[in-house]
Amino acid sequence: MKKLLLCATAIFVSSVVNAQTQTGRQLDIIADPTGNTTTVPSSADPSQIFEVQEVVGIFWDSRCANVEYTFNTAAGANPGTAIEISPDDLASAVQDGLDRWNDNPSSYIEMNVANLTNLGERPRVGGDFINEVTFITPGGFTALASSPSTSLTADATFVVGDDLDGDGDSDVFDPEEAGLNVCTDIDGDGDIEFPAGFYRAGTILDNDVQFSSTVTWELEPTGVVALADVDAVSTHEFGHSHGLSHSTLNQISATDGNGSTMFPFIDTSDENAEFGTRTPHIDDLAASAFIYQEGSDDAGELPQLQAGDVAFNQAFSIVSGTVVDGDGNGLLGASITLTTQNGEEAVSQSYSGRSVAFADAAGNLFAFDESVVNSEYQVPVPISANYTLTIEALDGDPVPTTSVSTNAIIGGILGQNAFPEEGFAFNESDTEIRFASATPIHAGRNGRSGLGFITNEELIQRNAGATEFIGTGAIAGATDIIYAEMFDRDAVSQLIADGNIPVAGLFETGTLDNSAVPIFSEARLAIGRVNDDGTVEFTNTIRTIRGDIVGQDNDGTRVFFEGAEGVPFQIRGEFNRDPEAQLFLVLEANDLVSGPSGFPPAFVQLDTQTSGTSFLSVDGAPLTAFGSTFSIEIRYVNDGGPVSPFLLDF
Amino acid sequence: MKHKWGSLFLSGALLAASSIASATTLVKMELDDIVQAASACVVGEAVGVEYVNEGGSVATLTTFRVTDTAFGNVDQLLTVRTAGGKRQSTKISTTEVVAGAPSFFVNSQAMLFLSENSGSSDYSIVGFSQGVFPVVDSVVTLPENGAENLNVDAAVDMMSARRNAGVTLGLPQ
Repeated sequence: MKKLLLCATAIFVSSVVNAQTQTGRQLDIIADPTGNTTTVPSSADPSQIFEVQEVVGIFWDSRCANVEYTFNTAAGANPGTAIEISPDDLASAVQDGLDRWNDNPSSYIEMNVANLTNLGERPRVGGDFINEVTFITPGGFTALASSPSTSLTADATFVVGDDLDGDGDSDVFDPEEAGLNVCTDIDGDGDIEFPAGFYRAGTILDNDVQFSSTVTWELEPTGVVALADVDAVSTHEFGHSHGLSHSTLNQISATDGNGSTMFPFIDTSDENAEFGTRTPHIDDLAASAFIYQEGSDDAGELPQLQAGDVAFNQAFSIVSGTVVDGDGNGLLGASITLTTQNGEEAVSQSYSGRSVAFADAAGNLFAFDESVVNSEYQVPVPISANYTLTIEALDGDPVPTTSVSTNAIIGGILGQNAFPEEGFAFNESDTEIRFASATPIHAGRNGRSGLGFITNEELIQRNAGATEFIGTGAIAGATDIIYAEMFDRDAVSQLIADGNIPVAGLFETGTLDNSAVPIFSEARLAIGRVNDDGTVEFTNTIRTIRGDIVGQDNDGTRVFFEGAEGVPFQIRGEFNRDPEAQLFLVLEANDLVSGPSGFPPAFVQLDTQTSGTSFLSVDGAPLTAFGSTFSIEIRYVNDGGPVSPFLLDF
Repeated sequence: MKHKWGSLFLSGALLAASSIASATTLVKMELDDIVQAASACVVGEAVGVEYVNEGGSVATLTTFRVTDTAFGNVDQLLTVRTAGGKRQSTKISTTEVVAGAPSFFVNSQAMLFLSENSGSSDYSIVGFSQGVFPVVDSVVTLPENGAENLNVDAAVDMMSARRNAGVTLGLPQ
């Protein structure tokens, strides 16, 4: 049975290899059955036969990559108000965003608003081969905007005269007769016709971008929370129109808190963030260029180099590898980010793995462990530079699997989205003590391959339950803040007696202002005690992490303990010296400047349902008990090594 | 205030709450925001999927068998409506893809935070896709800051308790 499965999978993998170049950054679909059938050992009935259905990325065929949109002039934005925006102005704003995508010299896709036409006062119509931009949405539309794409779910050969959408009109023309082998409105009837030929599963045939008719729109960001910038939203949505999924990059560098354009959140109260979203980051451009490679062998004229183009392989190299857990199981949807060697800037990001779904005789789709075809990743990065690699799970902070792709969702269903963030090193294992150190790699003209992550196994010590607040209002306008979390000495003693080594601290940090970067000046693993008046007195320091600690926005900020193997001995020694001593993890921020929200970018998230272990100091006040619990954790790794009798004696 | 692309809630209640809380606390839908916004929280197993054409759009209707209920009055079988899905009745086989829309597999379990769709017997996911937490081996996979992963019983109890704790908006001192 296993053999049969492996065989079926091998056939499938072969078909994947022969299909188009895919990137984990693509939106994807479940293609129609390939004809391969198999049993699935992990299913409820191991003898049941399933059909294999490939998960494929969506993309524009190179013959159709000069995408023409029709703006529906039947409605503008904010109708009947003093801030009504005309269809002409909206179309212009949309085109501005498209121009920034089009300026990508290594991606051959082009998108333009080609027509302004009154298509009627009705919501968009999908699958009609009119690529529509509209500010009319149906009742119950709860989104700000969306970009639905209609894609082929099976390879298809379009024959001259085919009526693909069933509207009584031919949608396919003879390219030889027409002397034209591109998608265009060749008969002038308002919808796009396709040149006859072969089209692969995943091909986008139709894309509409719809902006909510109940949102209040603006043409220039003002930082007013209730107003959404057309350009920023449009630029993001047309990234989806390219076939791109969401990125996890929500903070480009220590000085730029903006994310890439394809990060799935917008901060309408922060005009800098909206301006930042308007311009695709190199992460966005690299993902687009990877799909639509200038100078590639893709069919048609568009991929051929023209004046101003830069061949993809002259601009980008591919960094690739795999992500597996300690048992060697491949992981789907692990987020891999490449950052310039010295951590100045997050440059490019993608997701791991390829997957399949399984269909029973009734056509119901299932995801099993065997859905994992491979755990490979490929990340395009600017050529000839040094980078470090990190992985993180799509655990909801900052992005959940459901925001990314079908492939990632399958990974979530398989429980693969709970591994800790770590940097890549050449001595990868699942019990890394020094997993902080990411080894720089050079991405030259030939790229860099074989960089295999093995996710770490960590034990978490945490006092907070689920956190429901980004932070406390007590820090409004503050310039200096100290957060401290106390970890029970008995629990700590037991953990280290069990052979667990404290390797890192984790703080759930964030800011209310998207363009701001949480910066902390120091973190400490310290020994202290609580005085009778409720204040904390530190008596010794186990580890100090100094310098600007770049906090993550709405995610875990990690600090790593150098020489972690020695930490248990120091803790044990301090506990032995002082029976009242407790272990504290401390995070300090100084000289803070508040953002547009009035709050400094230095939140640590809160659980308000519990208290008793957290302490807060604002602007030099004593570190005193705080009525909620900070989301602060100590992370332990157990490498199975022998435990010293010294640690056992407590 | 950060909005999730494709999931900006337009309800007056939420916007009002946001403006009342002058510090605009809702960076995105944190767990308690989701709890309070939902009319029901259930644990269910997907048992069937169908696709419907609605005007120019496609929607997916996934039927769940409810195995646990944290709060809300729901039937044992309920239907969840999500954006996108297979397009029927065309001469070619196509799927409509909407970025950020969740999808479900028949054998998958999830903790779902649901809101009722007016004029319909089906439900939407709170926050577009934010109100979906996969259940794997009887463990609910909550966000990294969500008290780690909890077994189903503990997660149901926690969501019930959080719901009963009431609305939590604003930045506590």
